[in-house]
Amino acid sequence: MVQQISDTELEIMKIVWGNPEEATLFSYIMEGLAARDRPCQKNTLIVLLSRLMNKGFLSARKIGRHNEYTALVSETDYQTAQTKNFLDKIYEGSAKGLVSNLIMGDLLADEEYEELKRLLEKGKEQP
Amino acid sequence: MNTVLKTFLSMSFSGGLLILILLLGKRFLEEKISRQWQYYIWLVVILRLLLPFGPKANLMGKTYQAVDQAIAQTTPLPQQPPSPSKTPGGVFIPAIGIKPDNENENHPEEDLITARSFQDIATPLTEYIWLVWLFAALSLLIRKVTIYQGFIWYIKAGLTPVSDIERLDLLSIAAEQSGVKKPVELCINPLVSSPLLTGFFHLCIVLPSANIPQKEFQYTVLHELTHYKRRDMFYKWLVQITVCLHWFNPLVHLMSREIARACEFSCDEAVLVKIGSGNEQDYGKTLLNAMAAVGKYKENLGAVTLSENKQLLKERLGAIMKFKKQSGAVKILTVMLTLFVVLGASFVGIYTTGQAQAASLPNTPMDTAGRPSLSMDVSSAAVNVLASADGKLSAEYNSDVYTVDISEQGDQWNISISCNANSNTNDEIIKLYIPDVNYGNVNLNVDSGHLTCGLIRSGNIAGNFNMASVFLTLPKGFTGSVDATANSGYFQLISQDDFRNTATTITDHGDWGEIYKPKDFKENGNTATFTDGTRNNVIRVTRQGSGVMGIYTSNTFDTTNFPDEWKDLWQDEWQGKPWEYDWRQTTWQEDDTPNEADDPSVSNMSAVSAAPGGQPEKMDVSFTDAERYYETGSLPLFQIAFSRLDENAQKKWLEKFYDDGDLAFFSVAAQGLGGNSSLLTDFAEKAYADEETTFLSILTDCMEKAELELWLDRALEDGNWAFQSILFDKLGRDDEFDELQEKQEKEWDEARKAEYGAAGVTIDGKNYYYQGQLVNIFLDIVQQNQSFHVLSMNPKGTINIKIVRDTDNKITGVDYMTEEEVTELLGNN
Repeated sequence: MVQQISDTELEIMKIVWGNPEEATLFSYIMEGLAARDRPCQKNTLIVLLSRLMNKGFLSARKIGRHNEYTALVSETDYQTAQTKNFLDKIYEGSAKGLVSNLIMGDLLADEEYEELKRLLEKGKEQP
Repeated sequence: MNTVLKTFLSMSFSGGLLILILLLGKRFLEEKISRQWQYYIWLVVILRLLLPFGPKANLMGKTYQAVDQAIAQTTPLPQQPPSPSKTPGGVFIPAIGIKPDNENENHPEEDLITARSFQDIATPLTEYIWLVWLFAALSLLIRKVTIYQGFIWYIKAGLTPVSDIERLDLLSIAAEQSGVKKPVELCINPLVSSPLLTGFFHLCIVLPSANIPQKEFQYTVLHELTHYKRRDMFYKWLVQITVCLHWFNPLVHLMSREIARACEFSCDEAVLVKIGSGNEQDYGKTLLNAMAAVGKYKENLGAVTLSENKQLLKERLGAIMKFKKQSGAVKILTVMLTLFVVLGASFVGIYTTGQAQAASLPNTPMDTAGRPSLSMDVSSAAVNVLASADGKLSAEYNSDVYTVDISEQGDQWNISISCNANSNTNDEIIKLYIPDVNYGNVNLNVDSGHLTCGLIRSGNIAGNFNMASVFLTLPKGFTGSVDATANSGYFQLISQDDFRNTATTITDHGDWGEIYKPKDFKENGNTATFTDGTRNNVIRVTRQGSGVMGIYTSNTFDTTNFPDEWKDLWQDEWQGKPWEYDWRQTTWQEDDTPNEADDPSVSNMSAVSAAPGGQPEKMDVSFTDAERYYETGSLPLFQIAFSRLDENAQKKWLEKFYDDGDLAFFSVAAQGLGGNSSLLTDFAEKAYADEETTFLSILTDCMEKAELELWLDRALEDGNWAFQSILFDKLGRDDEFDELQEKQEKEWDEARKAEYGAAGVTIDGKNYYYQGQLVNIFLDIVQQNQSFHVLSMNPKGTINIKIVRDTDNKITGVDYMTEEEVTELLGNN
C-alpha cells in the first residue's frame, strides 16, 4: 500500500525520480528544490526525508558523512496508486467515469485523445 | 537494621537537609541569582541523594554513631562483670553465679529476657523493611514509566506531521540558533494542551495547532529546543528516579516540584538571552496563549512542556518581565553559593558502610555466663599449655624443680606454678593440660618464665607478663578479648584469623626494643590500631620496659616478614626447636648475676662460646645468649641479652666491638648500657683520646645533657673541632657551632694571610701577588695533623708559585713551579 505524501514530499520524490542515477545525494535534492523555487533549510529537508523513509518511499545508505537516497517506490507505481486512490475517491472505482469525464470535459488535446485511443486498442489486443 | 537501608536512610536524611537549606535560601535569593543556577544546583542534592559516598568525617556519620550508641545503650544487654584480673593477690571474684554488688547488674536475667524478646520481634521487622522500601520504589518507577508510555501513545495516535516548509524552515533556523544538531521533527496533535517535546533521541516537537503566529511559533520552538539542548528530559527522569527511591521523603517530593519550576524558569531565562531584550512581552504572550487549553491530559510527566500550571505561569511571566543580565557581583555570589552547597553536600555526607558495620552492636561484651574462669600464675618456670584429653586440669612436671598447685572452686580454676627455691635448672618444661572449652575470664600472670598457649578459643584473656617469654596464639574463630601487658622480655601474639572482628590496639610504653606488627595496622604516635567487622573482640596489648613484641596475623607470621637479622635466628632458634632454648634467655634471675661475674670462664671470651643449641652452663646463660645473638647477627636480641650481662662482660663486649670497629653492635650495646653506666664514660674517654669520632658519637647518643655539656666544654678547651661539631649537634646547638666555625675560619684566614705576607706573597681578595706579579697558580701544601692544601688559580696571572714548608710546617720560602709540577698538578685535576 503506497501511503499518502505531502506536496513537499512529492516534490522531493520527483527530484529523486528525475535523477538519472540510482542513488541521490542530499545536496542534489537541496539544489533541486532550490531550482524548483522551493528552497528549504537543511533540517527541514532532513525531517522531510526521514518522513519519506518512514513511509517507505526512500531508503538511505550512509556513505561517509553523506546519505545516499534511493527510491523504493517508482514514479509509475506512485501514479498508479494515486490514480487508483483518486478513482476510488471521486468515481467510486469507475475508470469509465474518469475517461468519460476527461473526454466530455474537453480536458484532452486531440493528440492525447488519439494516443489514448491507440492505447486502448493495444491494451485490448494484449491478453 | 539492614546496612543498605541504613545508608540509604542517611542519604535521604542528608539530602533532605540540603533541600531545606536550598528552599530557605531560595526565598532570599530567588530573584538575584541566575535561574540556571537555581535549576542546576539541585543536581548536587540529587547526587547526594543517589550516591552513597562521602568523606569519612561527616555530620551523618557522627549523628548515626550517636544514634547507634543510644540504641546500644537503651537495649539492655547485661554488663560484663569487672574483670577479676584487676583484683590483686590471686583473690578472685566468682564471675558468674553470684551477683556482684553492681548497680548495672541488678536483674541481669530479666533484662536479658526483655532484650531478647524485643530483639526477636524487632529483628525480622528491621531485617525485611528494606524489601518494603525496594518494592515501593520499584512499583513507583514502573508506574511512572507506564504512564509516560501511555502518554506517548496517546500523543502518537493523533500525530500529523507539519508539511509547511516555511514552518519547518523556521524550526530549522531555531534549531541552528540553539545549537541542536539533530533533525527535529515537527508535528501537530490537537489533543495536547500545550507545546511539548518528546523523545530522547528522535526529537519531536508537538504543537496543539500549527495555526499560530510566526513569532509565537518561533518562541515556542526555541523554548522546546532549549529544553532539549540542556538535556532536561534526562534531568527530569533523574529526578523521577530519585523521587521513586526516596518515596518516603516528603522533602524529595517537594524538591521534585521545585526542580520542575526551576526548569521552566531557567529555560525561559535561556530563551530570553537568545531572543534578546525587548521581546519579553512577546514571549510572555506566547506563554499565555500556550496556556489557553491546558488540562486535557496529565502531560507533566516525562515530556517537557511549555507550561505547566497557572500559578507557575504567573510567576514565570513575572520573572520574564524582571529578567536582566547578571552583574559581576552576582556572579561571584553565585560561585560562592555553589561552593557552599557542594561542600555542604559532602559535609552532611552519609552514614558510611564502614561505620555501619562497626555500629552493628559495637563492643558487645561477651556473655560469659556458665563458663569456667581460668587463672594461671607462672613464676620462674617454663609452661607449655596443651589440650587435656579427659577434660580435666592436670600437669606433667618434675616435682623436684617445680611446685604446681591446681585448684578448682566451682567454675573458678586456679593454677599456680613456681620454682622450688634455688633449684631451677630451667631445663624442665611443665606440660599443663587444660580442657579445650570456652572460658570466661582467663588470667595469665607470668613472671620470669615461659608460656606457650594456643588453646583458648574463647575467653576474656588478661595477661601480665614480666621478664617472660610468652607465645600466645588466638585460634581461628576466637571470641572474647585480650588485655595483655608485657613488661620486658618477649611477647608474641598470633591471630589465626587475622584479627577478624576485632578492635586491636597496640600501645608502646616501652623504652628500647621493638614491636613487629602487621602492615595494615594504623600507627598513631606510640599506638597502632586495627579494626575489622563487628569489633566485638577487643584486643589491647601494651609493651613496657625493654623487650620485643611480635604481633602477627596467620599469614604474616612467617620469617619473610622479619627483619633480616631475625630470619636466621628464627630459623635456627625458634622455628626448629620451638621454645625450649628461648626461654632460658628470659628466665634469668637476679641472683645468677654475681655468680656469673665470678665465673672464671666469663673472663675469657672464647671459653664461653658454647655452640648454639648446646647445653650451656647455668650461670652464663645470658652471656652465651649474647654470644649466640652476636653470631647470628641479631641486633635487637643481642641488645636484650647484653643488657642483662654484668658490667665486666659488657666491658669485654664493648672492647671487642671497639677493637673490631663494629659500629652496629657497639651502637646497640651502648644503648643497652643504661644512661649512667660508668662504662659509657670510660669508653667515651677512650674514644676521645683515640679521636674516634664515630664511636664518641654513638656514645654521646646515650648520654644525659649535663654530661654532654661537660664533654663539649672539654672539646672547646682542647680545640677539638670534630668533637665540638658532634657535641653541638647532639645538644641541638648547631647554630652556635656554625657561628664558632665562621669565627674560626676568619681567624684562620687572617693567620694565613699574615703567614703568606711574611713570605712575600700578598693577597688581595682572590688575587695572589708575588713580587708584584699576578699569580696564575698558587699552591700550598700543609702537612699538619690533618693535611690540607691551598690551591688558587687565576688565568690572568703570569707566574706559578708554591709555598715551601719545612717539617715543622714553617714557611721557608716561595718557589716557582716547574713545568712538570704544573702538568702533574693539572693532570691530576
